[in-house]
Amino acid sequence: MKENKEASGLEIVFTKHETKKSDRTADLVCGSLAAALLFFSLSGALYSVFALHVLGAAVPLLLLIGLICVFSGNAGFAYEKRKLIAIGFPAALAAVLCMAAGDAVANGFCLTANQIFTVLGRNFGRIFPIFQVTAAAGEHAFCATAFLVIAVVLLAYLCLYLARSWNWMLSSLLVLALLILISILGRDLSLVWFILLFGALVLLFYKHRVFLRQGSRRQQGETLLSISSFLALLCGVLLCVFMVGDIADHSQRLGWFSSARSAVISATDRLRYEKKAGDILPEGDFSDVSDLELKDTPALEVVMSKPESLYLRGYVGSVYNGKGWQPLDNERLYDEYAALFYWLHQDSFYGQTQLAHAALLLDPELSEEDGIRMAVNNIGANSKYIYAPYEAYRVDPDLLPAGGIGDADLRSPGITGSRFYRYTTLPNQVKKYTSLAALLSEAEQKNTPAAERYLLTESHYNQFVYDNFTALPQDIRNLLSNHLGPYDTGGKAHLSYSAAKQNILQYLTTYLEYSEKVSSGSGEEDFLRKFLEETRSGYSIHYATAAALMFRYYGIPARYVEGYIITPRDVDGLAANSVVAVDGTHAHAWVEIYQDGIGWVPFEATPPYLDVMEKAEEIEGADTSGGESPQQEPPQKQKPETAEGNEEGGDSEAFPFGPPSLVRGLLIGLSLLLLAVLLFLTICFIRRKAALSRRLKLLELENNKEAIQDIFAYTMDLLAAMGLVVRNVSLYDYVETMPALLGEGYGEKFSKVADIHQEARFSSHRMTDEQRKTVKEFHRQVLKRLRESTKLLKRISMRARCLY
Amino acid sequence: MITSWLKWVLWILLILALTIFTNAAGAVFLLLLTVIVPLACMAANKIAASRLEIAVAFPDTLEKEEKMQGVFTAKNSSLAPCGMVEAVLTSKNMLTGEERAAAVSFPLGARQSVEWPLRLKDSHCGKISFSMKRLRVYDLFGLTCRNILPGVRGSVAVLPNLFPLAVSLGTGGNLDKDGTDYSTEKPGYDVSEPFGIREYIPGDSLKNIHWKLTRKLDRLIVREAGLPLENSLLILYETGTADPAKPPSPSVCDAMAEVFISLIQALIADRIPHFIGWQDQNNGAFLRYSLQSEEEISGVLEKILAAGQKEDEFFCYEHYIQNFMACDFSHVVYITARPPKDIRLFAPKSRVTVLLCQDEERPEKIDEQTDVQVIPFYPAGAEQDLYSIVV
Repeated sequence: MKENKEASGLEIVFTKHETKKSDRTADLVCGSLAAALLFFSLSGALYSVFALHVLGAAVPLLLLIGLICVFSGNAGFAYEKRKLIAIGFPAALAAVLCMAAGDAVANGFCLTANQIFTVLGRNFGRIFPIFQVTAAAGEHAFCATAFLVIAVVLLAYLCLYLARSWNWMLSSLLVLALLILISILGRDLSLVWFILLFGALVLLFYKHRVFLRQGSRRQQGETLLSISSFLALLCGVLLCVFMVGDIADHSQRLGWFSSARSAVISATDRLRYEKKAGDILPEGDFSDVSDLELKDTPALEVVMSKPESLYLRGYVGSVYNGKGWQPLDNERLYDEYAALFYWLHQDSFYGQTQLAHAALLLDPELSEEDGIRMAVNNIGANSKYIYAPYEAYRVDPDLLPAGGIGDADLRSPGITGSRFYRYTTLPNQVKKYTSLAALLSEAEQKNTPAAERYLLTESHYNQFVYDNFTALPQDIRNLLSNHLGPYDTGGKAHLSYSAAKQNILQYLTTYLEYSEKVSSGSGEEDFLRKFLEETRSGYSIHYATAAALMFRYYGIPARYVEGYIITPRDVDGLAANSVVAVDGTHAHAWVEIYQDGIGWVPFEATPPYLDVMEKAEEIEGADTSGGESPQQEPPQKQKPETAEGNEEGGDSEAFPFGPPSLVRGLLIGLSLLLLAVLLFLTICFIRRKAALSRRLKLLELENNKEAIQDIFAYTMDLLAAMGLVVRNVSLYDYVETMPALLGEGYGEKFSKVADIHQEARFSSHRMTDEQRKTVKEFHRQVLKRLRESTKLLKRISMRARCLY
Repeated sequence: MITSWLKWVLWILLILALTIFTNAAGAVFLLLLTVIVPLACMAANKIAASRLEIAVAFPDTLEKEEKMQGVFTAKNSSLAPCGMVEAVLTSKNMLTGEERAAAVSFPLGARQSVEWPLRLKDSHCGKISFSMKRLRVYDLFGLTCRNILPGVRGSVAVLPNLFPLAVSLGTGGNLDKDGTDYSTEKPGYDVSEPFGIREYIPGDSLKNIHWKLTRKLDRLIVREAGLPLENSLLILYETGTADPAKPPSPSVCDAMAEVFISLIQALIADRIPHFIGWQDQNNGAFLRYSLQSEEEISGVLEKILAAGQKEDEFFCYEHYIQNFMACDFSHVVYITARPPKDIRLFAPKSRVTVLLCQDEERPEKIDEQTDVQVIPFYPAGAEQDLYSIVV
């Protein structure tokens, strides 16, 4: 059965409602409601996510401006009189503001960008560029407001466009991007923004589904209001239930989502980073510890220009939480130590390479020519970590970015981590770090400039280390006090290294038993307590954890480390540049301690491994009886307010917004996206061209009947491109519009052509060449009129769409 | 609908991920909204669908080619809104067999009524019946739909364009010798009952010359025969088609009906009572009516306009014989679009006239049949072709 299109007999059709004045009002209300909701939700969410309240901008004014843009723009579209003025007026005002208060706007941009980078930096633990702000502190609020006016106007226009076009898909993508941002930043937004976001999306979704089709605007407006009221009532009831029932708090108390988050993160990490050999050690998470099963599955392939036995450090745990280890909090790192690490990195001081640089500085027998070039091919280990020795000193900036905060490990870039990397390392310095300590004392006494500069820099880092890696929960301190005996610093920063090591090793080897089989508990007990008091047996992770906490108990900064060891036996007799196959049996956990002035060094605490790796020899006179308190607290270097170049012009930070890897990555991503879009458009163009070619061939068919129908359909498409509103009505309804569209006399021509088309389509008459010629001539005239009457840009657009 | 479900599930997964990663109260609430609001809307849709009232209003009659405005009304008398109402209204011209459908979709708020203007036009006569083929109510998110079948039915009669038709009755067969009822106004063919006398007109049969009066008045006088009023005329209207793949075109059906009704009207105007009959293809019954006045035309007009064509192995006259055993009319007029076969067997003694409507595109070959008058006509020129006929 035919849907009514162009019937010559029976015809039944739902006709269009006449546009009335009240329709425009409804259009205005509908459009404004959706646009306003979207504007409020997006602007409020972004404002909260990036904590822009610290800028002190005049929020009510900004909201008012946004609403004016939204309503004014909608009014322009709804009433169509002075459309350009209504829509363009806010933009014009914003442009005037830009010109009149350009400096304020520029400063506002810098302030806003700095705040956004601050939030990102706190979340990712990275230092982002800081823009120079020339305005005085008292003018910051004004500058921020001036800039945010521009941003608000742009956002309002975007929301206006989305609401007018009822582009649900694009709106969803925007909201999706926002939600992903919220997820990544882990921000806790107010309920209000979520409700508004939900409401805006539902309205747009609903409008997209239904309203674009049929119906008068007034009716649509009434229905929209009715539906909005229904949804608002429903949401209100749910909100009351939510608040009264305290559901959110309840869910948090039960830890539903926290457990789910951990599970999801673990699963995602496994998907991204791990292969079979990678799941031997728990990455500091002891909640589900099982028996140790070291398999000989290949993990790493290491090539060294001079084979050396080395500790390859991977995961580093900084904070003990009772169920394992976790990194330092990024927000706290950023807030308290961003400036410290900025200046440390400016001085090329990195905790990860400190041992090597100290060795190069202090050991006269050591030079960069002794460097060993290393390449690591991660074939089976966890690619979330870069496995590098303590002696590494020349590392790719991608792995050791200057903008990073913290010193725990090297960064493994990419979605799936880095599986192949190179660096330069020194020969094993771990076995002689005590001699380095002695050399350091000597250098200090001699007051050599290099040593002085180094020690000054190190002193700041030293403070950071002591502040963060000697912390112990009180219950653990009490526990260790019971086991190791009470310890009083006696005015020193810590017990001497040798005494501490001796006490710890003695305890671990005497009272505890090495066993690769562990009993699984409820998961609720403290890991250390269980090891020291219940099971009294464990393997490397147990010993390393206990040792790290014991060192901290003695005031010595310590961390828990997991990684791989290349033993002396592995490299014995190996030629240069041979591949050292590191398999799962080389996976190990150990403790690293901070040797004042020297850096982080590993300490073996697991009994079976005590004699596996080369140890540092205790050298008489070495500064192992230390325990001196850190040097006098130097003035804290502040992160610079400006990032301008110095007068000598040699400062590479003169233009602070240099292209860090993240920005480069973004640019590459953007380029790829543009390329993909271009490719997509090209494919679309080629397909359309082919479709046009097929269409033109159909016009030359021998069968007059079919050819007439095809020519007519093509002509109707051309007329639609010229502005004919094609509706579900009889063809003859268009006759009246032809003179306005094409010119005088075209009404009759169209009527005649429509007759021929109807005959061709619905009758069994044989169509003559004359009739075909008539239709074809009409088509030619329409095409000619189309070319003459449309503007250049529109013609280009039509050509791009392969309309003709 | 599948797309809507997919989108909903994807959205739930997204919000779930957001909730997991932020553990924020707002995200939990959003998750709650995402799950519960659509479910609530589905329940509301069920209520709204059960309280939906649909009505279609059209005038009763319509002229051919006249555009008529009707109204489609939907009313939601519940407190819950309908996300979207999708209605498909079908119309069928029962005479020509043409079917058309019109679809509309619109939202409907709570306690809201919507009126949609409908336009109906037909270039052929017939009875147009319309009904709601499909009525679906979707919830706000398009996740569920309820199919409703409201009993919305109606009909509109598109009146035929009648034309003047001069009908003369020729000498018929099957004279009823016992009949006593003769027309007092029109002469006929039954010489046993004289109607009147008049002067001779060239062409009159010599047998009708009244010789006595002729001698007396010294000019030729003829005797006019009486017109028996009973069993004088039967008009059969063919509604069966031989080949379902090639039914009569709508214009042929239209022309046949117009000729049929015009003929009836002409006979009534001439006060010639007659019978009409056709096979009702919908019910399988043969309908026969006796017509003597204008009022009786009104009674059968709608039925004629609803007499649609359908495949039938039997001719109309064969159905007549099956129902009435024999045809004892003196004149039989058979209006058809398919050439008859062996019609003489149906009415061996009657005067048979076949009005054969020809499709211009597919003219049927007419078999020569002795003593059966076949008058072909075309839809476009029926008025000219049948201006004056002798049956």
